[in-house]
Amino acid sequence: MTHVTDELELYTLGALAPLDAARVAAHLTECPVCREQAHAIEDVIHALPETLPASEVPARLRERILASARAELVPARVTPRESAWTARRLVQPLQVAVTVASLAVAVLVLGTQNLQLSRDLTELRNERNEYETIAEGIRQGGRWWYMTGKDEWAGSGGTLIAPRADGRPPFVLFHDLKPLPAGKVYTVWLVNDQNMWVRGAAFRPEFGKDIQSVDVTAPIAGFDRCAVTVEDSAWGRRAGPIVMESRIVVPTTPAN
Amino acid sequence: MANTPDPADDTLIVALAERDLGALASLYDRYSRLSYALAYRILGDGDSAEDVVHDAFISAWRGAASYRRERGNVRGWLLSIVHHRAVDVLRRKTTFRPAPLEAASERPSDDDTAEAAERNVEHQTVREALEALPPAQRRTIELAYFGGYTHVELAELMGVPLGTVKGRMRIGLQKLRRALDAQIGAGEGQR
Repeated sequence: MTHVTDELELYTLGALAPLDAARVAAHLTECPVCREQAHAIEDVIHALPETLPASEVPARLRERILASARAELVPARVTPRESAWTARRLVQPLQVAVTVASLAVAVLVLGTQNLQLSRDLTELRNERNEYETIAEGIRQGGRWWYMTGKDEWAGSGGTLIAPRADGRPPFVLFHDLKPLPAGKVYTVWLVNDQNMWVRGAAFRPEFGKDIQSVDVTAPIAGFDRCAVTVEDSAWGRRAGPIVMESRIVVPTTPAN
Repeated sequence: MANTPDPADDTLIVALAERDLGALASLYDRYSRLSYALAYRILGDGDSAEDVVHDAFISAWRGAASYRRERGNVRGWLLSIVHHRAVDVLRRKTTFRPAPLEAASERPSDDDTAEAAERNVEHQTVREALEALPPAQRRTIELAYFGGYTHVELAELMGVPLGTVKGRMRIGLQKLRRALDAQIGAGEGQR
């Protein structure tokens, strides 16, 4: 295992390029030595905001956040609870019996979750290996663009990666994709300097995945930026709103 | 009824994963000032900072079940979300990047609560340690963390090799760590 100690300061400061950051993050999931060092550096870096002068937080922000969270509870018909610690003080004997029964069920569920965690770890290792391959491909002459989310999609993003060396077709690694209403699809577009838009992929977001990989079916040669729209159909002309787009072309940099 | 102590961060996260709005409110009350200060420092305008903090807390609300204690504490986890999102927004603004120290000193604190006074004493140590760094080390750390620059961009911006950027970050952070360790040693028991 190759440690990433030389990159931990850069990683924790957010000063690595996305692919390198993903590679380091993947390594940290399975390397306790590097993880411990990263935590020590993070403790310092997370103290940096405390050097800032206190700012008055807009009063409306608290209710805005709570309203957004509350809105997400509505579709599931879950009634917002009083806070858990308040509820605990009011617990009744009958509820204790119910809780004990629930805990027995939870023990069974936890056993299942351990299996799930094991599978997740294997998946992470596979992803880590894939990232390393991709990074090597880019070092050997690949290209990539980062697309940032706009408006309601702020916080979402995707990196279109074209690793040349390993022969793999281009693909996009998306993060924090928002769910879409039924019948809508995300569409990846390649755009050239004549403002010609060519469809590269159309897909639905996968539920519960922080990161989703989507293959691009069109060759990227001749295109210098990319974007994502939300469309009603996986074919036809572009009609939906642009929800992500790349800002600049990132040139290939020679390996140091 | 006896007062119950404020729940620990880890307790709040468990409650958050159970979709407890009260836990979200408590987490907000605890970390909104720090989160907003960070987002404001990175972005330089209140509206964008507000949006980032909103998105960060909603992201925490949605992702609390995936929080892993072994990857860091709740405060660090939240600040990482805020930082990541703020830098993401900043990088879309091609024309504006605040200078390292000037923007931070533009807004004096109007927070005069006892809690804030205690906080300011603690944070004064960090600030003094940061200001005590050689200018090149301090500027490198600030441009990376508050300016959202990658190390490649920093090397170009400052006209130094990549190794120099890395070295400045490493040595600067080591000095800050020593200052923090000394602070913790002197003030243990307050947390």
